[in-house]
Amino acid sequence: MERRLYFVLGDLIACASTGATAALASALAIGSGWSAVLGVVVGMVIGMALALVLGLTIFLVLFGSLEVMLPAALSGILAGMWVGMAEPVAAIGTLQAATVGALTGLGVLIFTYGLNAYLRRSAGSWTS
Amino acid sequence: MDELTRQRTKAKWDAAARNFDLMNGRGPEIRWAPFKREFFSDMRGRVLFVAVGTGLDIQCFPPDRDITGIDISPKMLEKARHRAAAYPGRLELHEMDVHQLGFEPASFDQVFTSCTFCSVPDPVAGLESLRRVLKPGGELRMFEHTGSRFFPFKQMLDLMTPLSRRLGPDLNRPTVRNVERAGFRIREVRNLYLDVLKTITAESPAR
Repeated sequence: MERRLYFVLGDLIACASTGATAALASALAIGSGWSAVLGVVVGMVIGMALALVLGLTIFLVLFGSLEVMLPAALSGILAGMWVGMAEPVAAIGTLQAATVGALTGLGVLIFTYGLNAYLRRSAGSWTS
Repeated sequence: MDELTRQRTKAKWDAAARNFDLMNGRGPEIRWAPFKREFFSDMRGRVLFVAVGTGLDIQCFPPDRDITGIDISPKMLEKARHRAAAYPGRLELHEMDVHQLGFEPASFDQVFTSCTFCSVPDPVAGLESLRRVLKPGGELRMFEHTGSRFFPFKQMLDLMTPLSRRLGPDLNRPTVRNVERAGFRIREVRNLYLDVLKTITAESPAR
């Protein structure tokens, strides 16, 4: 597990900011009259696209490659999907969207750190 | 590999050479430098380093080794030369395609790669070519990123690959399986990040 403060903070910033940005962008793009299914798909695409842009322009240069971009992309996708599903049902404020997005990023980071700790102990049959 | 693919690969990496250090010289390099130093510390005998790029990894090489570095891109090698000149040991660089290695069979004791076989156009043929220049019982040691077996990472890597391939590497290659297909015996696979970034140690079987 990563223990160097610079990279731990970098991972946290990447996941939280991607989640928050994706949620915010999805809240602004998706209207209250949309179907929830369309909202989820659009939110997912927005999250993925934003994660790629932020990942390739900032996070790759500062913090690392796939080990930063994968959890950041997952944060963006999940946050975008959540807002895409919720926005058509009940309009979400921008602050609430950004907060939920950042928390999604934090959750994804904890999940990937845990999975990583497990997988680093077991290779061989888990690998391709 | 046909000539057109070779020229395209060369052109792609020549173009990537312009911003390669900016993109990879800080985040990824500093992050993984301690692991690479430990991994490369086992270099012994005559060593072939495949895809030396702009030479960012040279700082992680142990001193006083006999290393031959190759890369398909002359622009990458141009940037690597000053780093190679500063290496405290024997390090020579050659422009060479891994599919068509210009070395005698059984020339090397070890072959090292670092994020290489995500980009080699025909990975199994490239690995077979490495087996040819390795001495029987010689070691292949790889620091590579590969595809994942896990949802949702597998799907994400599959989705990103068509885009990443245009700029550089594939993100979803089954490199461990490719090493086996090329006739190597896998000795150890160690995950560094999820099952995506890993070290692979394999042996060229005695002929």
